[in-house]
Amino acid sequence: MSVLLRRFAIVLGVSVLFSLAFAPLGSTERAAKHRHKRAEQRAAGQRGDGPKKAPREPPSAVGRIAGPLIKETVFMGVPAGLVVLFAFGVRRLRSRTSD
Amino acid sequence: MATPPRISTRTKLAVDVTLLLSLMVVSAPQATGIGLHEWLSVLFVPVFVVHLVLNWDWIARVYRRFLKPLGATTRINAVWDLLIYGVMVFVFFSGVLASRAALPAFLTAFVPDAFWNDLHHVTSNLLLPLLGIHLGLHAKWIVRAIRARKESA
Repeated sequence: MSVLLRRFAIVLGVSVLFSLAFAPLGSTERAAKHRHKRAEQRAAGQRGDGPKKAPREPPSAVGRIAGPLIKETVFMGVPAGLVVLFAFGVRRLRSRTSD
Repeated sequence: MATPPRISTRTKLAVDVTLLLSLMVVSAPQATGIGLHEWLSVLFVPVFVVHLVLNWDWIARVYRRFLKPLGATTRINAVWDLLIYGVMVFVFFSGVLASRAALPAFLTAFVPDAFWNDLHHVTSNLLLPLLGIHLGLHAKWIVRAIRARKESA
């Protein structure tokens, strides 16, 4: 049990170190510019002089659930399928050249 | 020194399936709503940590031998897994700083950050194809584990 706890602690510790390494990104000039731009966009939106968007119908309950699921399946499934196909191709090529 | 417990393929497969399904749920804030998305993400973190802990032996073995001769597939897996881990931690971290429901429930003065919010959105979308490739790289193990589970059932 203590081994597992030690491993949990290591994973959490390393994750905290990684997070601390990312933190300075938030104080860069680029981050400040981005925040400024977003604040301006928000203010323009509230004033009503921002870019006009055509009103869209809210998605149905089925669409709200199926839409993200389809997106995730495609975003993960396509790369996974391509890797499997690539590995299969490499294995076949190897077996042919070794014959 | 205590010996680490032996973890069965069945347990690993069960955790991996739980991880994949919970990832699909937390990656869909449009479906769950932001509040539930954030709270489910908090619950997702321990599952992710358990996934790492269960595969500890492989992780330790590979990274210890990383600079020594190692098979190309294993090396690609090791680099890819490290990349996914880094992006995953980034997604958690940016998600916390962009929190609109979970963190403000404890810290009333907390204001979600637009910069981290946008980065969270971009990196969480990037995570999906990275994980897809991860699944593809481990497809052989997944198929073997499912077959073994079917045979033992």
